[in-house]
Amino acid sequence: MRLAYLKRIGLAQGILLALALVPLTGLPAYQFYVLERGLQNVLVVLSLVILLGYTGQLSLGQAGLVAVGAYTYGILCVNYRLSPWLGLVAAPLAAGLVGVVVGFPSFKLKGPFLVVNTLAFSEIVRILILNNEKVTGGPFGLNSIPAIATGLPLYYFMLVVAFLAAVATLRLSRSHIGLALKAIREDEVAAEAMGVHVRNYKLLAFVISSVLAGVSGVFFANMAGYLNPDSFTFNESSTYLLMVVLGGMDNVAGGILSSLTVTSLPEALRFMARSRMVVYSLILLLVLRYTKVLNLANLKRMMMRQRPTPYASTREQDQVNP
Amino acid sequence: MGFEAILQILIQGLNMGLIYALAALGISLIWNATGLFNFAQGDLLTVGGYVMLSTFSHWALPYPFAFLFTCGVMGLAGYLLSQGYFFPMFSQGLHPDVIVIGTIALTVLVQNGILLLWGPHAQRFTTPLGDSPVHVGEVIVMPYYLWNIAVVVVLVALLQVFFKKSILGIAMRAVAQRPVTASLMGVRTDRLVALTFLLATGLAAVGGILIAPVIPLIPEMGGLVALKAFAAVLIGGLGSFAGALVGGAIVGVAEVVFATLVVSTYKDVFIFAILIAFLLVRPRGIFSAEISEKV
Amino acid sequence: MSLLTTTQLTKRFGGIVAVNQVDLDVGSGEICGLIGPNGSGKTTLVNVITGIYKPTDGEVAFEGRPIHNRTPHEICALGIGRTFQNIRLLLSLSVFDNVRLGGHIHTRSRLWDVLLLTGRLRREEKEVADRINEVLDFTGLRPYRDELTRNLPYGRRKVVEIARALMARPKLLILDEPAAGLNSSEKGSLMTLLSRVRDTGISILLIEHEMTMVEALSNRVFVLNYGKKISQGSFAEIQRDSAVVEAYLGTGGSHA
Repeated sequence: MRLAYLKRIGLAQGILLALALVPLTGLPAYQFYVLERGLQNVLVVLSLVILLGYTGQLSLGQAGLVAVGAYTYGILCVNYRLSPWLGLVAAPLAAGLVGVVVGFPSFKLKGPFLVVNTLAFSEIVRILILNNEKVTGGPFGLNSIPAIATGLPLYYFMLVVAFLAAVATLRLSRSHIGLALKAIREDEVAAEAMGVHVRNYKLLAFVISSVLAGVSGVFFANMAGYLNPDSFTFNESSTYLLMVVLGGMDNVAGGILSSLTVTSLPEALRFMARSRMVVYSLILLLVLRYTKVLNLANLKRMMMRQRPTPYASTREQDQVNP
Repeated sequence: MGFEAILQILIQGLNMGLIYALAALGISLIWNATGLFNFAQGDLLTVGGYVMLSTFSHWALPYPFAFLFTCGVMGLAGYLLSQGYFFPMFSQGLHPDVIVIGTIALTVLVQNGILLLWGPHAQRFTTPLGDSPVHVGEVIVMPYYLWNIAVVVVLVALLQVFFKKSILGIAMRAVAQRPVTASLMGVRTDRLVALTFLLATGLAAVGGILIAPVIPLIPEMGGLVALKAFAAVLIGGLGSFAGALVGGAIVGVAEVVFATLVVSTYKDVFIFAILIAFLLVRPRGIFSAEISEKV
Repeated sequence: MSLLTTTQLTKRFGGIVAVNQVDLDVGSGEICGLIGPNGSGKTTLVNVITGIYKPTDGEVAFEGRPIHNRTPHEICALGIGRTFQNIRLLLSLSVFDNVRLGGHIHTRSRLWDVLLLTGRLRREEKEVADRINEVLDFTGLRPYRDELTRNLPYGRRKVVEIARALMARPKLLILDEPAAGLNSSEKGSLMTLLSRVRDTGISILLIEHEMTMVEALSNRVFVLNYGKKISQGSFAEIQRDSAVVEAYLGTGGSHA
């Protein structure tokens, strides 16, 4: 009976609604903080579900876009004393604009060329942040960032936004736009021949995913109250990618679960003391290796009693020159 | 600008540039054999440096022996990685994006592993030539610059002979051209791919050994070197031997030029800007080695 | 007035001339066959017409307007649909979704409509679903509507590609070897389907090796060899043309 109810409201929405009840469980403060971080990461994972899962554009630059969102918010609120609410609106827009620039080469770059392009942009962002101390605080960081809300109100605010983002992503997936993106992922030439303006749609995917990453950045700034360029590196971008793969690539519910799990994993392994991060990375590597079976999308399908459709490219022509 | 200054910049630039070239070479080798872009190459280079640190500095083994030991251990690791991790993923027909993310997951493991085994502090060792600056006229050169350049030149020569003359080298090149055909003809593709990985990680090890005197080893070094290596391989031409060398040289020299002539904190931004420009205008690099899609 | 006209169309790849000064035309409501030995440039010609390649020389005009500088999606919007020699469907999606993609060019809803699930989107999706059912009925694919395309046999996948192309309401349908790999009963069904397509007023440019099909369906036939047009006319005429016979059988029994 509960399964049927879940099917109606959707697993993704169900998970997020369940999260609303967590504060009632009396979870200790630090573990709750980790959960919050997992929730903040959900937005970035959703951005990659759209960019990579639907459109097939592999990006190692999401950390840079999160940084743009976080620092735009921080700079506007601290240096220009703007209202945090205005920051919340402006920051994702800024991230979206940067997303246009980062995504622009996507019309001709594929595979590793595209990835390196996104990585290069992300690094440029980080270096610019690092070396403009007057504006960004440089390596000393940006401090005392005012928040939209703190504590429990912030948590629920993030939850609402994540819920809306999940619903939006699902609606996108089912629509003709989502279908066009998926066609681009699987066969660009055929998609274009069927009337999809591939160049623009790729750019659209980049912009949407950048805006989501930007919102995540705003939440990061709100949660931490303090920003440092070390939080937005290749490592973070890598982790986001791992999360979306483990979630099943194009699966929203899987991505949400994956974000929460992977973010909490280092915490859960605390008992392993010094070797916990190595164990953490080994677990990720192993799950990746067996991802055909071991991914959260499959788990979801098992729970919802659906047939598995593996995210696999059956076309041998995967080597494409840009 | 005086001739000596140019020579100074060239030597310093080539020193790092050839290390980037080694990493680029490793990336190109794996790319040719498998179509996989190894994002972990920078971190593998770093591990190589750390293994040498243990064998040469900590266990005080003689330099040549430690050098070969490190390359051997790293090569073996590459072989095992291929057989145990990557090749099975290819055979399973996993989406190429997933396998690429596998290399990215590897970077996370390697960095954490280094942190666990060697700690977070910067560590260094140097070549047998020592650390006293050498004066050649007006030019001041660190002895390890010359050492690095010499080692890479010899290594490249050996590789050229290997690929052109040895049966194994020719077989590896054949597999790189037509992996499906080769496997249909009964060639043990998995072994040849594993050998390619072995060679690539071996080259990474050499890079790590050569980089330690120049830049002290830290666990995060992999990420820092990686992007320069990617720039080198893409500017020079992904899949091209000459491209890796030229690309590495360009990045290495550009780095020094930007650091000395322009603002040094932004030297990387300029290099990445050049990389992005190349990607927009000529993604297949200077020496292109294309594979086209049949429509 | 002819629907599609190519004038001295040429396509070079480096040193190779894949399409060599080809003049071709397709009129309203007719089926034109495009035949020639393997490697004669038929698919390349079609790729140039549909905008996947830019011509090295020459022109393509559709309904009197030049299209040789246009992108594939623009050409699709103008009314040219196509199928591919090596089927290019989205195998991980259902037949319904694959055919739905064909209708993309006619969608009017924007991202805004999608995110807010507006009435406009709902109406449009209803119309699209109706049209998909129409096309599926027309092509006999209705029973397989929700099947995963990956699970379909080869012959049926080819029909899905045709259904997809029909969704866009093309004026000209270009088919690249639709009968390849089909058994005789499937070929029969295909012939019937293509006649019915022509009867709805859609012109067809048919690349085929299956000569009975070309003979039965085509009003006119164009023959290519080594990128050049070596003959054109009714099927009976080109069948008698010695140049055509030579191209297929070779002189003194060499290559095919």
